[in-house]
Amino acid sequence: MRSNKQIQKILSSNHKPFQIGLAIVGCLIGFFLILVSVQSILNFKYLFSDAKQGIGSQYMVINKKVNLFSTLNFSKTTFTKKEIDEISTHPSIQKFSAFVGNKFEAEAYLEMNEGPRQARLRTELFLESVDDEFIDIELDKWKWDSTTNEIPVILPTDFINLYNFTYAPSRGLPQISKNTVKLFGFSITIRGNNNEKTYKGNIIGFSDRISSMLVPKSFLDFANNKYGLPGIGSEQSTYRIITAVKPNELSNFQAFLMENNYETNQELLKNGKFVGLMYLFISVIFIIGLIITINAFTGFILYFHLLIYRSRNELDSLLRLGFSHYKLVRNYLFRITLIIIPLVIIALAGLILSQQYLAQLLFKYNFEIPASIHLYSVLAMVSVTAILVFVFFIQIRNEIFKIGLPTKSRD
Amino acid sequence: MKIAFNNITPLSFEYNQKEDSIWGFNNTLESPGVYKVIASSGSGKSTLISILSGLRSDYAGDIKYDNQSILNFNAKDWSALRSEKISLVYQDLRLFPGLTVRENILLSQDITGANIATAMTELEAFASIMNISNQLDKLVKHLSFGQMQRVAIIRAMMRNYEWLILDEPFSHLDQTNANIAWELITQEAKKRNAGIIIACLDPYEFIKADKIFHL
Repeated sequence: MRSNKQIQKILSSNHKPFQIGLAIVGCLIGFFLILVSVQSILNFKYLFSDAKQGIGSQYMVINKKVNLFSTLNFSKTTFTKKEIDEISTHPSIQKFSAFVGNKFEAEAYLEMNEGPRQARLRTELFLESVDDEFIDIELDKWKWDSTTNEIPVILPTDFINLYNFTYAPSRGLPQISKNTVKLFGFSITIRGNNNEKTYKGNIIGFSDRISSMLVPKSFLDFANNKYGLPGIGSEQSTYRIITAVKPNELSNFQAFLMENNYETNQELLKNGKFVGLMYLFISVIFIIGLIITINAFTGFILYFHLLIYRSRNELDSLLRLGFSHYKLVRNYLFRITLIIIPLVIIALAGLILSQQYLAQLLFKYNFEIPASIHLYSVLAMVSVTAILVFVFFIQIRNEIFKIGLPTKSRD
Repeated sequence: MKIAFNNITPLSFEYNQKEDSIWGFNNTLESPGVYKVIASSGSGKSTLISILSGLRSDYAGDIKYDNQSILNFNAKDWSALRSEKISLVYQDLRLFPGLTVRENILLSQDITGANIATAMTELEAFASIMNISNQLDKLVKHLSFGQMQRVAIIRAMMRNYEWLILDEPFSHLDQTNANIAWELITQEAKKRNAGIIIACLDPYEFIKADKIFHL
């Protein structure tokens, strides 16, 4: 359409793009900040969702707070069925398991031969079990065979650390490695309900996740059923719960715990606070980016209002010739598109480069993120641009429809 | 196409009620036909042209194009009317000073859908008759007002129309050039079976009208 070129020529006489140089720079910065914030959120989601990165689910052991009332037996520290249901169905939870404790007497014996002397160490035990999916060691040995006399046992890492770095030095005893401990055979005698049996305890590993002496759930169910003492808890007595919390939901879950007066590892809650703060920080960047972009677009709109005002006479003449209002609106839309599209491309190119740089940088620290930008970042950019261009279109349309028409036809 | 004036009266100024006026009467103008509107300064010639072309709304009464009231026209209707049914020469000409004469005249050929080669031939023929052939590639801002009037007349004639509406088109033309222009205008209008409304200060005796209005 040759008239488009001439219309462009007529209306360009008042067009001075350098007058919106600041708005162009602002728009570019705003676009880049929006892209960076959206891509950052997607990067974090990728990091948290990929188990290989080591920052997947956060495991939390939850219990009710013990206070004076519970000590005096006025209040219970067991979870009710309703509370368990509420925790297990919380949207922040990925996995859930209630701890099962022993309801029988249990003792451990360790026979030590030191030259001519023989010593027998004895201690009372508490045993617990959780669902296998929460066990943080290889599961191939974590099976109880009811036809044998052996029970696999997992000890907390804290236990051997306490021994090696606190108890042993104070008593002049030798420190022992985890592998050495695994070689120790010790006996577990369980007793109750007029039954008694001694098993051989096999330490198969140490758990960083759970601070308890763990035995397989199948064994504990069997033993509680056979040796369980009447009056020591009921089947529903759950004192502790272990959960796998989505890492990006830690702060939400923390709020839930506080609201219900539950306790957990405070260090993990700090992680939750960190994740929450990180998302807040990214959100602030996004909002700043959006504000800068909106301001820049407001600058564009004001500039084009001024341009239309300056070109009012020419626009009026074109309309008198029979050019449609929308043809002239499209002309201005074309101009803003010529400004915006290069900015979007530059901002996207900047994001692509920074994502590649970040991926290389994180790789050095054993974290892995995609080297390419996410489609959602592009979609976010396109959406923001489309909304702003639409606002621009409405503004310009309203302004141009004020020209070349009798008042009552301006609709 | 008929243009019907139904008791149209301006609201922005006092007018003298005359027997052969457009203001305050019902009149129907039919094409082809030549209608001359003679009026002194300030009596509403340009107001009338502006109302006819949809630029003003400060009037009472109604104007109908082929029984369609302009009171119900929206932006699209006005664009359609201006691009297909009426072609105007405004008193202030409404040319684009930054374009050449040729560009000014061919600007609206996209609307008319005319073949560019045919339009160029017609343009050069009109320019020759109007004695501005040597001005075609000059910027309009470098022309005299009389030359600009001739450009505006050619532009109006080369558009689609059923009515040519001219507001003081010969105010800066000498008698000879005014005669030439009028002869060309009437020839072209006749070819298209179009009507002419010409508003002028002077009676211009060489303009033979089917009806004369005095404002």
